Amino acid sequence: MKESSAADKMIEVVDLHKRFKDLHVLKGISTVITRSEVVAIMGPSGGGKSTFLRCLNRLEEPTSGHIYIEGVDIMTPYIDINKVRTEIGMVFQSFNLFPHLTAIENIKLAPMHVRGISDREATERGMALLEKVGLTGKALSYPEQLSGGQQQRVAIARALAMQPQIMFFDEPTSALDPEMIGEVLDVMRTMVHEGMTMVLVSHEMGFIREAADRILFLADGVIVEEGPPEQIFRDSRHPRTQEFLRAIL
Amino acid sequence: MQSQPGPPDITHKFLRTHPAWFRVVRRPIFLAVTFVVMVAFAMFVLPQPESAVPAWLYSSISLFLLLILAWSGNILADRDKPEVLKLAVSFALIAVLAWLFYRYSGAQWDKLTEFFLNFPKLKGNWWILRNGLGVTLMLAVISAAGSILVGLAVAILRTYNSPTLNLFLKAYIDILRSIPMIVIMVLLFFALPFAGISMGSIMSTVVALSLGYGAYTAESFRAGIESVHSGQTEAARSLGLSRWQTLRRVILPQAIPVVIPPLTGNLVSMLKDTAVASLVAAPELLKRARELYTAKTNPTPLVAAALIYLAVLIPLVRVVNMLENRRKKRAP
Repeated sequence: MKESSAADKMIEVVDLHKRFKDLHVLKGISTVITRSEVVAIMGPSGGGKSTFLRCLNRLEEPTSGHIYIEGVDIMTPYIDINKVRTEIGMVFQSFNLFPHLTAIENIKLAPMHVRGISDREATERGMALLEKVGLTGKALSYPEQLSGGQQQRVAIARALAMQPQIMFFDEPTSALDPEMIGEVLDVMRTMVHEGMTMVLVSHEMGFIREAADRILFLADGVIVEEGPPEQIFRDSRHPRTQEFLRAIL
Repeated sequence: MQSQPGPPDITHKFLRTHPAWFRVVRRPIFLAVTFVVMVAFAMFVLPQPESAVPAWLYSSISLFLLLILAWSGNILADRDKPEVLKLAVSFALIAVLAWLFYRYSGAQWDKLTEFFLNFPKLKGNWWILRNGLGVTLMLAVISAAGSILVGLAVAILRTYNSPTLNLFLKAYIDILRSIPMIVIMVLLFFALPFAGISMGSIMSTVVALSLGYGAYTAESFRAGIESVHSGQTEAARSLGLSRWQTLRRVILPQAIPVVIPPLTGNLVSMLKDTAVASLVAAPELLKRARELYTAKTNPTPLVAAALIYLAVLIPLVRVVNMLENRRKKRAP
């Protein structure tokens, strides 16, 4: 874990709770994520990983607690959550590309209508992003004409088009055929090298071992254990973590 | 000789077998012979309607009916007979049944034609019906636009999921869908003037149809909006698009193609319901036909109106069907 000064705090979560009616999904989560840090969230299904990630940009409304994004508590009133979300790119398990738009239109949509950038400039930037994810030739393809791996790379380009400070990945490779996982992880790897702050829900052990600075092990709505990948993978202390790792390794 | 096509020497445990009489009955030669027998029966055995003894009349007609139904049923139920033959047999059956009815029913055909199909009486008055059709189409087009606006607005407001708002929107939808169109129209036209609001017959028709069909249209739009996967909203919102931008740029472009077939269906029903406006004296097609009916003391104008409705609506119904089929083909 890197040394963190107050200015370097990108995300600070304080005592976050989420209840769905009778179900207490998140039971008081607190953590700090610093600039350029790559945090992997692992844990059993139903443990609240996705819910936690979705609470961080309030796609899911937290029940209580505080979330500071770049020092601002986004749980207070007088927050324009749309402005917060432009700072946070999000990539979903099921890609969620807009099926009625081509790849380049998917990428241009938010820059044009949220940032108010001209069509021409948005197209230029979009093409640059498509080149970055290796899909220059697919600009005019519709999502249904693309493979899963290609769709997910377009989805990453779409998120990057808003020039976010932070990227969230919610199981980005879980819906992919094995031979397509690599191409998506390659794109994510370049983002890590560029110093993007990333929060990642995933069970890609190889990628996490290589790229993550820290693992949060989330089970039953609490952070059971956290630490750098080597420590968690090699000698985790908590029986819940050990049991989980034994099952998936 | 076998009646079934295919090489006759096939023997396996799944071979389709029929009893011997069944195979005989389905042979073309048998069908041809029985056909001749039936024609002979119709020509020489069936008695004159007036002259026959009732018992003989009834029993011979019953026997004839039994014969033709069995004969055509035998062909229609046979999977191996060509479809063209079945079509021809169906039409022939209908024609024969109509001929039997015409000959033996004892109806007063000349009077029927004089009252209901007396088209020469309409000579020089077709323009009245044409004007009526013009008013009908105008009512339909304006009300269609109105109901789509009302329906879209209600459907969009419902996406806000505000319990208070939904209470009122649901009340509007449920109430308007539960009152017959005729009652809405009569209330608007005859009751509202006592509340100090009076609308002309055209205006009250347009308002009634827009509000009434707006309720149905709202439900269609809502179904379309709900058919768009929630991941679409999440992706759009996570990019920083506002709720309205998400609706306009992401949800509606996907929902509207889904909604068009049911919507067109609604509009066809609405075009038919414009006839209700004749009750509040809007000068549309049915009203004009009824005026002519009174003036000529002959109901032929009503038949003419029915034919005009048919001529306008059949193509529309076909279009709706086509849209639905195209949609089904495109759906994964």
